[in-house]
Amino acid sequence: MLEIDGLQVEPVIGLEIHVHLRTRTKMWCGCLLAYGAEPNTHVCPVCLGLPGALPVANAEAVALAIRMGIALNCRIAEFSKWDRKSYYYPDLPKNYQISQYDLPLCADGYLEFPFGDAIRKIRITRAHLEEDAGKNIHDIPGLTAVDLNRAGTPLLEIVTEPDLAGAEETREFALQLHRLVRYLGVSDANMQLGQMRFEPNINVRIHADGRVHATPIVEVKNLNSFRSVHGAIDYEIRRQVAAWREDGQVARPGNKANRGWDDNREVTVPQREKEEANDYRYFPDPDLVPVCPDAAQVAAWRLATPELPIPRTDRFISEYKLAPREAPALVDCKATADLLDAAGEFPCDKALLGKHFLSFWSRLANERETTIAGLGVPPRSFSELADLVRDKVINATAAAQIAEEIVARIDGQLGGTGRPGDSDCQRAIPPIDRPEWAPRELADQLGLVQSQDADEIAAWVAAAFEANQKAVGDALANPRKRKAARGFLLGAVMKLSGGKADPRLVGEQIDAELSRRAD
Amino acid sequence: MTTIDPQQVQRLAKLARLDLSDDERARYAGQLDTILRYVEQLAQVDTSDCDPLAHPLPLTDVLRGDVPAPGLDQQDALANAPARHQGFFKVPTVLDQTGGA
Ligand SMILES: [Zn+2]
Repeated sequence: MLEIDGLQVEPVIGLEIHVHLRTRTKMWCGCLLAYGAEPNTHVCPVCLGLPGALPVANAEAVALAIRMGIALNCRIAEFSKWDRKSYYYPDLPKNYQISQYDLPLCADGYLEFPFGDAIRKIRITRAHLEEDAGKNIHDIPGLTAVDLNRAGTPLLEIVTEPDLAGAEETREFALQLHRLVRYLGVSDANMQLGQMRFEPNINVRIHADGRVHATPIVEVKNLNSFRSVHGAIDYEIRRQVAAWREDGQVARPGNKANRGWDDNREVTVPQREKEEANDYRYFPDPDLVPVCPDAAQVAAWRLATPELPIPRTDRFISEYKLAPREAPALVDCKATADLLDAAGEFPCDKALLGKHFLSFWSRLANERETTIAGLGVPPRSFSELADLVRDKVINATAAAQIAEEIVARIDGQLGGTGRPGDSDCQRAIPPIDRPEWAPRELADQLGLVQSQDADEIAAWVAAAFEANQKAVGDALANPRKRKAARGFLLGAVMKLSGGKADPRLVGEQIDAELSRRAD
Repeated sequence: MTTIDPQQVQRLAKLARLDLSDDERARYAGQLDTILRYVEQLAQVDTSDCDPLAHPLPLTDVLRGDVPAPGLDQQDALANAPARHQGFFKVPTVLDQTGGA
């Protein structure tokens, strides 16, 4: 419940989500999905809607839709069929969209996610398969140009019950869905490419005069960023309260309206209604026979459903001692999360392992525009490196140096190719495992094994004190500079040792030397 | 039973983007009416024991693998288009800019 201008306002929001599925080819034909290609170069008689062309459903799209349905706790249909949704528009060459009307593949599910201090449970009405339309290009004066490369792209439409209660919560739900489809490999869900789009249905229940007044429902079309989902809902809530004050209109059959989102002005604007647009005249598509998902196959997919991002994040936080804010970065790329778990299978210090993943392994991946799973480092090397640090064989700086060396050697093998892109959260490359590239080997080769030798460290400390008299003076006599001066001396010793000295022992010796001089 | 009047024909024509004259509307109303009356005979059959039929063929699960197949090149794709513009199909300006499915 919100308070707006002294009124108690309860937003009621449902969300429709369209997701492009991660197939190679279109829904009904073998044309490749191509983003950014020359117009009308990935088309055929089927997706052009030429007379006599017959669609055949893509088995992989059906599989991805069902796997998503399972992750959304949906009931998977035993019998599902295809229907024609008729409307007449240049980007829809058949003049109907093949969709699913009364027997969707997936129905009656839910998604739970943490929001604030609570777990929110949003019911999923249905998730059905359909096809995307082509693209109308309007920015050429005097004409509309049509590119049908996108026509026939497999599209999963997910519809929620009106269970969302605010802009922030809806954005979080949208983010969690985005995370989930990418994690499962159901969709690349690249927002810039329009691979995931949102359409919230919004109205508010205004509590006034002991009664509840529900404002007319507005559907905001085609939002393609999380920011716009939040902005459009936030704006609509305020606009509907103001409109109700003005005209007192309440929801009734037939007064639902469509609006668009103006990203520049950050307002919703009325959309010219397509005449009779809601008269879709659905009927079963005679060109396509029904789909009856095999129960054994569905059961196998159910079993193969991986640990999902939300529970996995919780586990990573406790198992690898990650900060809640940082954990999603290691979970969202499934291949990297799997790699961390594979490395964690070897007995090692898991907190250090997690820390290394978040620090230098992430940096090395970023530098190569890939994921940690795309680096090609064997799981054992991650844990071995963490153990070298835990056992004080090397220090943290040396660990980063060794990691860098391992990846540089793999770079040399790969010749700079073959790594997945940084947004590909599914693919790991086969690790390149050479005994001579093992972290312990490299620590020796690079001379990074930490010195525990007290005499050697004493010599470095003495040399550092000798060369930095001012810092020694500050550390002894100036309380305000004591801490900084001590740090400076520690750095000087580490530098003299070529990074090999054990910083803890160095610190102890510096403190001992300082207190001796203070006496 | 069924009567299709010219207004209904006009509504259908609009949905199908057909431009009909008054004569045509009247003529098609009569023709559609005849067709619907003919089909309506089916309503006399007792179907209380029948399951709904989703498809006349006794087949399900005719699917294809996710395997690319060659399509048309741009020239061929546009060959029958009444108008084209730099590789695009060219159509009269559409005011409503809400594309997408
Ligand atoms: Zn095609």
